[in-house]
Formats: sequence, structure tokens, C-alpha cells
Amino acid sequence: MTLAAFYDRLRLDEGLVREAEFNPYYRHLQSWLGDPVRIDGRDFLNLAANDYLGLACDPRVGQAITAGVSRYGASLCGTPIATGCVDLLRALEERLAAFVGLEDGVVLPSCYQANNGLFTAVAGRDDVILIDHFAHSSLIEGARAVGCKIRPFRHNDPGHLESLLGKVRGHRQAFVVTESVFSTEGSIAPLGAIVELCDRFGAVPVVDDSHGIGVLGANGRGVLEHFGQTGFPGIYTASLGKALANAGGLIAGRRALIDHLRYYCPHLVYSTALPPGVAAGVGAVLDIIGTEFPARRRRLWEHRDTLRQGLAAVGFTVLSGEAPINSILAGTPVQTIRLAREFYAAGLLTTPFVHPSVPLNEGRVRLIAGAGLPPARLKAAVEALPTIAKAWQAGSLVGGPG
Amino acid sequence: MSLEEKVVAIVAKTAEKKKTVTLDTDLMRDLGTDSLALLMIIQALEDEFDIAIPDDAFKKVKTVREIVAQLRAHFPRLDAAP
Ligand SMILES: Cc1ncc(COP(=O)(O)O)c(C=O)c1O
Repeated sequence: MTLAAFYDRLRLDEGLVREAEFNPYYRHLQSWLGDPVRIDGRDFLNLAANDYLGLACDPRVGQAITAGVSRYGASLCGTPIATGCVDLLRALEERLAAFVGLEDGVVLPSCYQANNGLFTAVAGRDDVILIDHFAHSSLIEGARAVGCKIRPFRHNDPGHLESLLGKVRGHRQAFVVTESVFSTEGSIAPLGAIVELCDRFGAVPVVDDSHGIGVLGANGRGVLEHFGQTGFPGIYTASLGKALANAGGLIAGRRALIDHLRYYCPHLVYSTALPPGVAAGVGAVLDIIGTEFPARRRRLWEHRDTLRQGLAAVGFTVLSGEAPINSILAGTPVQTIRLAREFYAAGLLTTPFVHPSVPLNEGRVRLIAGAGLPPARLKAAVEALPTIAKAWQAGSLVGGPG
Repeated sequence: MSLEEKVVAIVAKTAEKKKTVTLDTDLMRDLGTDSLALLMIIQALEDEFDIAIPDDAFKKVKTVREIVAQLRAHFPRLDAAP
């Protein structure tokens, strides 16, 4: 193969963007997430970021990060096994594990990396991994890297999982993998039933709580608190870049698991540690959650309901998720991108999902109204919805089914 | 039950949404079958017929009818099964 052919093969198909007359991806933000967000020199209301509690721009978090940097510098320029594991990071790992109710934890630079590296560290070719059909790419790719048998089960369907657990045989260990909150639709996994099945079949449950930590549970401690899972026997992962408003990926569980990962998870051992400033930032967020969670949670859910009622009133099909996420079913990829374009034109920043992130003709536009949004601005957004819906529907008719 | 009927039933059962499945159902277009969903179908067929389907046998299938054809090509004795 020639070099020209190689680069030719990489060329992007721009058909979708051309047809929808909009590219919603990689827009350049010119501001922080605090309202308003600026893009293309215009003001936007942020309904896209995963800043559920509105803490990404909180001055207390910023100050903690600055203090962390003053004391430890920008980076320890080493992997955790070498110079990267500052006392601050280690304390954060213990604090996060206790926060979610588990024995110990380890923090990687991202949860994609955590999910990606977890499985090769704890599973082998003679194991089997049962995984929710709609699990996040990081979990699927991490599981695939093991080279063992992968058995997908129907999304949030413990009945199907049970029948598969009854069928698989000849393996050393079974793992059952799910997310807590599926973020493209806001559904919550039936974790209680899954853990019970794992217990019955001797399988290890693995749950990615990226969209649940800091959101679910009476104290924001995530999916385990939400389901009253006090003695969770499996593996827990979560992103620190969503409600926890920083960056990083937690893996938590029993001490034996964490000790093992410290030496056998290459994604941890061979990657520069989470910068100390970020560790300090996450610590500050945990402090704030400790005192302000009830108020912030109330605002988050109020915002979700306000938005959901407004969306339904103008005829959008909103997926009836139980999480603080509103997801509009928008149809084909072109219809989906066009809907995001109409929101964008109205100054509302949203996230469109098209195939392969979601099934082919089930594209959706996701709106997350974080606790930090000013209620008056959200009210104005709801008032703009009839115009947005009308423009989109007219465009869909003119453009055909897309 | 014919092989066709069994395959149609398996595809319908593994689909995420209740949809009418026929031999002409296009997996990608009509059901949004992604790589994990295809794996689910293949494994359900393996469970049903007690066979081991080679890794690349279903790489190019587009419709349910083509699944049946591939199955027949690889496992000619399936039609005789009860
Ligand atoms: C469910 C889920 N898991 C993992 C990740 C990756 O986390 P991170 O951004 O920390 O890499 C994401 C998205 O970012 C996610 O939505």
C-alpha cells in the first residue's frame, strides 16, 4: 500500500455534515462553563457539559487547585509507581473509596484509561465477560483487549443476563459489566438484580458509575448508595470529570484488587500520574458535596423537570430516563444533527448522538441542565423551545426523512 | 419449525426493541444491529443449535435471509434437526 492510499483511507466522510449543514463536534469554547458559555463570539446556555452540580467554575475548587499547584507544582512528571504518587493523590484515593463505600481505590488520569486497563489486569483468555449491550466504548474496548469470550446481554435486562449466566460454561471466572447511568438516555441499571445474579453464579460485578457519582444517592455517593449496596463485592469505576468537575478515573473495590492493580495495570503503572492540582480540585469538590449536596441536587432535578416539561409540551419525544438527563429522540443522523443545529441557532448548547454511539435511526440530542444554571436563563430557554421545534419540524419536512 | 422460522425468532428475541422481524429484515437499517448485537445473535444461534460459528462467517451478512444462507453453508445438517 502506498502512503497516498493510506491517507486516503483516513479521509473523513463529510456527507452528514454537509447534508445537515452543521458540524456540532469540536466547537471551540472561548470561555469557561459558567453562564454564558462563549463560542464563535456568541453567548450560549450550556446544556451540554456533564457539570451536574455546577462546580467546574466554583472559586473554591479553583483555589484548591491553585494551592495544590503551589505546593506540588504542575506535575510530578512520573508514573504513580515512581514519583507520581504524592501524598495528596494517595489521600484522595482513600477518600474517594470511602466516599463510595468501598475499601480502597486507585486513581488514573481518566476513566477511559481506567476502564480500558482494568480488564486485562484482572481477567485472562479463559474467562468470560458478560457486558450490557449499550456499555460505554471504554468498557467494551477494555473487555475486548482481554481476548476472552464476550457475551453481550440486552440492555438493562437481568432476565437475559440470567439466561446467559446459566449457559456459559468452561470458563475460569465470569465478569458482569454495566454502567450505572447510561448517559445517552438517562436510564439506570438494575444494579441490585445484577449483583444478586452475580452472587448466585459466582460472577464478579463491574459497574461504571461515571454519571452516578456526585449525582445519585441521598448524599451524592453514587449508584451504590442509591441502591443501598453496602457490601458491594465487585469492581467500581467512575470518572472524576463529570459531577466531580475535574478529571481522572477511579477504580475502587476490595484492597486485594487495588493492591493487584497497583502492580499489574499497565494503564496505571506506565502513565504519568494525575496532576496534584487536579487531585486537590477533586478534594475540594468532595468538601462541597459534603455540605451543599441537598441544595444542589434539588436544583439539578428541578432544572431537569422544567426542561422535560417544556420539551414534552412542544411535542418532542423525550426518553423517560430516571437520571437528571433529558434525551430527545431525533431519528436519523441528519435529523439529529439538524436538531442540534436549531438549538445552536437559538443559543443553546446540546450534545447530539448519532450512530454508532446509538442505534442507526435512534439518534438523540441530549440536554443536561446542571445545578449551576441560573433559573431565569433556563426559563428563557424553555420559552424558545416552540420556535426550535417548529424550525426543526419544518426542516425535516422539506429535507424529507433525511 | 423450519430453520428460517428459528432464525427469525432468535433475531427478534435478541433485538433491543420489539420489532417485526422477517427474512427480509435488514439488520443494520431496520434493527440498528451493531457489532455487539451481531455477536448476541451469533451466540444465540450457537446456543440454539449447539454449534461453533467461525469468527468471520457473518462478517458480510445484511439480512436475516443471509444469516440463514450462511448457516446452511457452514452447517448443512441443521435442516435435519428437529
Ligand atoms: C460511562 C462513561 N465511562 C467512562 C467515560 C470516560 O471517562 P473520562 O472522561 O474520565 O475518561 C465516560 C465519558 O467520558 C462515560 O460516559
